[in-house]
Amino acid sequence: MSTLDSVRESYQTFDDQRFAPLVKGVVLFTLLAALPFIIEIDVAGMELAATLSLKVLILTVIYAYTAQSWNIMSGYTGQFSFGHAAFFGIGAYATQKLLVDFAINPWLGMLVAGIIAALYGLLIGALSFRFNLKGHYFALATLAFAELLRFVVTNMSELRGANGYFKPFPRDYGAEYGLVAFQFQNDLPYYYVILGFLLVVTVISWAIKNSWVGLYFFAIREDERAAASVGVPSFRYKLIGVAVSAFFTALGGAYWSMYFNTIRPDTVFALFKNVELLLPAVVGGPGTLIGPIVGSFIVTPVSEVARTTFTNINGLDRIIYGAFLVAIVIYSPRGVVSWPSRARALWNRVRGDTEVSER
Amino acid sequence: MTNMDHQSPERDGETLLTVEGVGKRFSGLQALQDVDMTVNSGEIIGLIGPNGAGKTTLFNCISGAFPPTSGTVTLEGNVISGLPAHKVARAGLARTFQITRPLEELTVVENAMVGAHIHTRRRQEAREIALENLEFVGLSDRAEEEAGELTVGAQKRLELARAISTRPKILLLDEIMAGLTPQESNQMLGLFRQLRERGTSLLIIEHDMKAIMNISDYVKVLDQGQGIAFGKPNEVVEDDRVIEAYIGGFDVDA
Amino acid sequence: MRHLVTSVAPLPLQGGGLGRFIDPFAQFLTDVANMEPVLLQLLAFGLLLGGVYALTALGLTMIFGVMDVINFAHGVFLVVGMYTVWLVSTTVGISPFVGIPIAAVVLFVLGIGVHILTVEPIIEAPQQNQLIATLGVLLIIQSAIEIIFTPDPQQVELSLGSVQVGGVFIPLGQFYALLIALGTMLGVRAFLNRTDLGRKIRGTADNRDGARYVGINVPQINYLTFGIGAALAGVAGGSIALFQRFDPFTGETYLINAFVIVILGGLGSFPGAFVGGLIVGMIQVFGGYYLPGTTSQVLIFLLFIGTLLVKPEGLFGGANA
Repeated sequence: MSTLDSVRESYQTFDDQRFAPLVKGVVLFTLLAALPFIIEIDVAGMELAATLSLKVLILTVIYAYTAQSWNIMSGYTGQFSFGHAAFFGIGAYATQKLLVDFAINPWLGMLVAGIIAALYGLLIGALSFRFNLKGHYFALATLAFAELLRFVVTNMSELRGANGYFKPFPRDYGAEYGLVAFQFQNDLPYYYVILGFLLVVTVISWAIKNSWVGLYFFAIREDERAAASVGVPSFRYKLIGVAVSAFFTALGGAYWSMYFNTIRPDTVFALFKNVELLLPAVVGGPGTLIGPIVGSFIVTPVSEVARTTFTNINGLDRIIYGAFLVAIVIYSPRGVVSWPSRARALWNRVRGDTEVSER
Repeated sequence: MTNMDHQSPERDGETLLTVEGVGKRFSGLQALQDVDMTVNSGEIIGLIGPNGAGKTTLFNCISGAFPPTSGTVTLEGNVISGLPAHKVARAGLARTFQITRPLEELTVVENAMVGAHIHTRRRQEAREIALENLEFVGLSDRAEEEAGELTVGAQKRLELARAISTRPKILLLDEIMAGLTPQESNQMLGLFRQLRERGTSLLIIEHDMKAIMNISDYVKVLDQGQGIAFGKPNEVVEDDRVIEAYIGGFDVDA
Repeated sequence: MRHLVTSVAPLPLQGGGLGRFIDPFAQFLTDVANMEPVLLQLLAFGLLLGGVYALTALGLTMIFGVMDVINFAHGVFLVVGMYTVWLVSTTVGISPFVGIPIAAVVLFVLGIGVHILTVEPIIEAPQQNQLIATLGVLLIIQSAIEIIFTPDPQQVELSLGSVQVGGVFIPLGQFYALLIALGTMLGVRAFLNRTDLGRKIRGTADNRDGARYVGINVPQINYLTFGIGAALAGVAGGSIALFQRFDPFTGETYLINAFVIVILGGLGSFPGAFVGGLIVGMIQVFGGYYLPGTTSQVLIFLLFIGTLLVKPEGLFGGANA
């Protein structure tokens, strides 16, 4: 038995333990928590921070978070939403509206925003599922519901039209910089807040996956009719998926509105926002727990680093990003998380190992 | 006399499933017309008929895949026709599909667990029920494999395990033996008998006449969407209308 | 990515209250009752715009109908058509009208190239992957245009003027664009109905598996369809360039409206695309006149959603490309 096999075997033994997911999660999030410091470590005169700034890390975790939220609906129940910018935008706008016009604390406003987004999600879901929209038609319907909001907001003076909101100072709503105000004077606390968000949505995703709800979700994704034949109420569970997913996506939008200074209809409701929000999940592996996180650490830095590196040629970064999108869906349609098993399959074939096929 | 009364005193057990005047029309085509039948508890009933007789359509009407256009179906006295499939399943009626529908990317045990969750939300409990039923159909050693990787024969057994994990009062099996080897078919017949002993009623569509005559307590014959005979297997095969329906219509090799 | 959005100019903020939603419709009805001449003018504008919109949707509906692929790059294909016409007319001095067929050829080649590189490898993959791949293509082409020609708006130098017909003012640029749109639609329809290749494409649209059985080379049909779809975008973009300024990001609005038209008219239906184009054109023109800001776009999306829900097969349902 080779060393590799024994390593794999002992990992398998570890993996079978009940506490394994907990250990993996703790390791992963400890690593993520240490990242802002890791990137500053000087290795042979080079430090990662030169290219990978804290800002990029924050963006990366934001998109890991939104992709994890999207995954609950689209990755698990298989209802591919191409309109999550609707929920993201609702999160940003409701939070800012309540904050600016009514001086309501963003933490509270964020929850209200989440509930509004969940209701909008239920509306979209109830209509689309009742009328049995599938595939392209469902994706286009979700996109239409998002675009609809973009134009509604653009034309509503109550939401400041195309000009959008400018984030107020904490003192404007009777708070001081800090956790309560949801505003900080430097980026590090912002990073830990969004990391906390990611932790929460990941734990909830894990809990869903490991309960009957998750199994029902996956059964619906695989074959709705078969699922219904053994008692899965697919309409109700698809609605649960939409609502939960919309709620958490809205919290992401709320965070966005508290981290950046301004929000406008054509930023938070942008056509391409729909893609950015879900892309890490598709790249990492839809339906998996780690996929959205891994995916975001691949996609977001590429786009951000390309943007900051090629400042002299405006647009080159997007060519690289576009090429990257094409390459990833062509060469890895099931996501990055499928790489280890694909590599193992390849390795086994190379070694002429027949153990797998004999089973 | 093969068109014996459905409530014949000869039949044991309580009436479980009643199909009354069920008809189904698809845009101009009358697929089913005025079908009556009953299944009593603990019975195995065969549903036979030439191709296109409406057997699967009747299954779909009973199991809630779509509502019948006329007539009613009751289970233990409660009307189930018109209910969506998941509610019919929760009322105690499970089915398998003619062309298997495994939840491909889920493991074998998870497939069965989906059925088991009808009774419990606790995952461990569902897993135990599922494993028990996989053991019953002889799939427990493949519990952790992806369902999509199973052979057709194994997928048929998985469908059975998934369906019985809902602990149904009555089980509708749509050509579950088609495509099985003679040995697998025999095992399947054994499972049917065991299920009956546990008190589950079975309504079976099958083309293998030998098997169906062997296992069924009673046989219902459909032809062109209508019930033409009901009776004990040996009686039904001698019925003139049945013979007529099968001449030219019955595929001998099936 | 932040450039991807064609920015909407900040609007004067409207007053509140429900009145602003009701008043425009009341105004419209009053105008109808009084038979205001402006209605005829709006109708003419709606027809002119709607015809061109129909043309922008034609290639999309064809690719959608035959290949079951949502081509997000369609909007940027339009933009390539615009820049081609602009380029040949400004640098070589060729008439923009000659530039339009050149744009069709350029797009046909580009379309086939895009198809072979990005769509073909994943034609059997989950639909979302095709969607993301064509979005990637959109980004690449759009940014390439931005780098080569700067993000500044361009314009084809063409002073065609306008004519007055019975008090209705008709800009000739738009009029010619409408004629091109109608001609192209009739031409493509004849091609699909009369030629052997056209019939094969329709057969594939009706039933991909069936087409395979009767010996149609489906992969070949696929790339021809993608090429023709892109060429149609070239013609559409070129026609738009006759009367409108454009920049690398112009395609996005047209893309979204083209989706609406495709669904409204019915997947793969040419008469549907025409009627859908007219509906969207009319809503935009009338909405632009009566409604504040871009509210007409809200109406378009409501109509879109309504169609998806109630009649997803569209007004001219059934796939007969």
